[in-house]
Amino acid sequence: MREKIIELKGITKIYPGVIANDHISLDIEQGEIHSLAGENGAGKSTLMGILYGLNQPDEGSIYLRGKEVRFHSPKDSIASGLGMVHQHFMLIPKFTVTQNIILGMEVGSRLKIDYPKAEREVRQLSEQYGLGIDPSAKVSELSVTMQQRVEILKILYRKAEILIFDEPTAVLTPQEIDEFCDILMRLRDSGKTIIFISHKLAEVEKISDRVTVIRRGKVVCTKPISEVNQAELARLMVGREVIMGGGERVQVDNSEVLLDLNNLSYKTRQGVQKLHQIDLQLHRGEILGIAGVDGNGQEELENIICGKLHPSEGSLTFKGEDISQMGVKEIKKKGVGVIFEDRHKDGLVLDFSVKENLVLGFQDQRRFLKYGAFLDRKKVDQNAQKLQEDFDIRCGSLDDPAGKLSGGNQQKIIIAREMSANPEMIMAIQPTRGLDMGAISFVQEKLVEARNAGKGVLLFSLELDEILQVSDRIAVLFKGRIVKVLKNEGITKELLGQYMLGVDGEEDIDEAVNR
Amino acid sequence: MLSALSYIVLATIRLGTPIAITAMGATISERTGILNIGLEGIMSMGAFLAVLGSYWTGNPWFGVLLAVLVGVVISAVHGFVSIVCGGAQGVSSQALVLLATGFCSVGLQAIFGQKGMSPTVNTIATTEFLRPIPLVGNILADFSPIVYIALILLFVCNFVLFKTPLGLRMCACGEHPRAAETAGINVGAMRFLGVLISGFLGGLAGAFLSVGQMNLFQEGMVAGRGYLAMGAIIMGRWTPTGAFAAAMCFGLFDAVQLYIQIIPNSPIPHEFVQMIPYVASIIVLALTIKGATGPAASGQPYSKISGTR
Repeated sequence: MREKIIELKGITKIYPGVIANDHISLDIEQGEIHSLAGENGAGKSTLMGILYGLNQPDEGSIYLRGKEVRFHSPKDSIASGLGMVHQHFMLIPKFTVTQNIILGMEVGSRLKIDYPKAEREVRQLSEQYGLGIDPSAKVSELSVTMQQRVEILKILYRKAEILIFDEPTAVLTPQEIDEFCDILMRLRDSGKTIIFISHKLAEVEKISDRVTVIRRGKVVCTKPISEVNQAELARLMVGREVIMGGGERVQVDNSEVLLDLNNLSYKTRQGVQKLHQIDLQLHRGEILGIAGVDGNGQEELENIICGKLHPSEGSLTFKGEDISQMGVKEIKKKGVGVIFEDRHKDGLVLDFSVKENLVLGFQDQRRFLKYGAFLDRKKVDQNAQKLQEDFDIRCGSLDDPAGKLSGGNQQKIIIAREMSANPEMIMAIQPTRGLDMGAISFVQEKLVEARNAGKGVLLFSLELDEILQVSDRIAVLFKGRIVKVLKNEGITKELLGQYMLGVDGEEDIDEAVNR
Repeated sequence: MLSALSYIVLATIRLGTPIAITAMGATISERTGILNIGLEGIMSMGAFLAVLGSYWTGNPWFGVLLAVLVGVVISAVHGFVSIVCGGAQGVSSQALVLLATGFCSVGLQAIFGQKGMSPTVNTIATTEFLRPIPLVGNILADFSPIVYIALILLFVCNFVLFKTPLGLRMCACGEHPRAAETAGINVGAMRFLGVLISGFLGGLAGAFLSVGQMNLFQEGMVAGRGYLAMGAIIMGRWTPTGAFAAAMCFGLFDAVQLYIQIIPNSPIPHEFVQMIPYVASIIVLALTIKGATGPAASGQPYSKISGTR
């Protein structure tokens, strides 16, 4: 067996209201890629923060090469040969690559930085590990992948032997992820030890030597990767069998049309035709998935339905009433709930507390008011407590700012809020983007629940899997047109993919144009 | 015609120098992430203390020493509030202006028993050792030594900021303090250093106004130059050289204004003429401000625990 380079024994960290790490013990062997798998908020990042010296544990000890150590700050851990690539890069955009890398341990005399020498050193290091970085480039001009490589160079420059990566692939595209995995394996082959934090199981399976699964602050198990498969890892991470698709569907009466788009077109002020004669009906008790490659008119369609934009032509009715000229608030009042795509930009006020976010947009409704004019704190609290229970929102306190919560829990806030107004229709825009599996299945369940209760659900998603798992019917949007509306029966991903690229649907377009 | 030109050039240097010195200091402070809008106050304190030092000892250099010391001390107050306590930088530095205004007028009363202005004191208005230089000696000697100190400081500020490890670290604190922290840099210390440098140079500029250019302290003698210095920082794109050049540009407007005022029988009312430097500054700033982005984290308090925000 290889030498144990790091041993964590009984690490415990308690934040007010949450046990982030509960007696975690774990050992890392010299020269392995060791994955830490777990859902968002399971305590992976906290644990690594403790190992790196960013946080202090309440209990437990850390052994480095058999000797007990205590890191009071990253300075200590860096000196001991640890390095961490943070999820949010610690790079200064206006500085060059070299400046970023040497910052804090500049070469040359105290009076003058020897830039030529520094650049030589950085270039040499970059070549040694095949990173292909130009030392004199400005960081702001580099792509995300390249910036990540600068981060890697930064810790290599500091002579790190143990490299910690905190969710490094979250910001990368699939192809970039492959390249990134190659780099990690090259680093391992040159003798570095790597700790890889992720909840994406495909990568974990691909590159790890061993994997440790963490759930709710506790170690579930540590296994060589050859002994587990993705499905088993998923079950271990979430703690139960994960079924995508949102669970049982009941037969509901779906004869009534809720939302009716008739011959609807939209032209921008610059005269660009974004939507062409859209005909689409959303019924009660169904989930209608809108599939399409990003940028084919989804954004405009979403904005028109929620009231941010108004159609140039055609009609838009909700329960028979014309809503095409109504604003966001009016439409909301009519019973349309919207789960926006960007949680941070549109969905939440991150600085506001969880309970405040849970009433946002409805703060002027009678149910939260005292004397019809003042916010009733008690009612806001009650509302928050009830929703927290119903939707399993995990946070230290309802007074915490929403920005402190994990992505999954932030999304739960939005869903809870929108559902609490008991809307008749829900428009969900990429509702599971950036969430882990447990949270995805939760969101999907809630959408199906709404459908089963006889509401209409309009689902915009770029993930074909999700569209196919959840929808009753699928409409394909291509170049601003609905090119196909299908019943979700026996459709394959490939077929749907073809429609999305306009293949086969073309005939219909030609027909429509000629008519 | 030549005399008009030489008048304006010489006056530009005289009038631009105090703005330039202040702006260079504040550039460094902003580079570390601390906004200092109290420059006006620091300059008045410097001007007052310089006169006081010269009055007490008869040596204007002692006045300069007092001026830079008081600049450092009161900017330390700003540093304490904004760095240690994480307070709002705009509010804390603006308070320096109020503090200085009150301090100077009370000081005039208490020490000199006079309202509005101090008695005259010894000055350092000329640099005598340059006079023997042939041809230009007489012109060069007519500037205060502080003008030459400013030129040296321009070189020093540039070198420190862009060539030394210290400068790189200071800039890092103004751009992305958390990244600086993870690189093992003491963000608070760097920022404090930046503020103190700004105070030091602000005090020096104040001394130039009172003992370098005139021979007394007068209430309101800074006359908005501290605020012009802030404009010079933006116009100079947060570099010492840029700030220096921008300050000289403001100095030029002031010189032109002075020159027009001394033209005999000018038909333009002098109130209008006096507006020139300020109006011109606003126009130039409006034209050059586009695309100017300062240090990313300037004005944002930083704490080890919660970062900026």
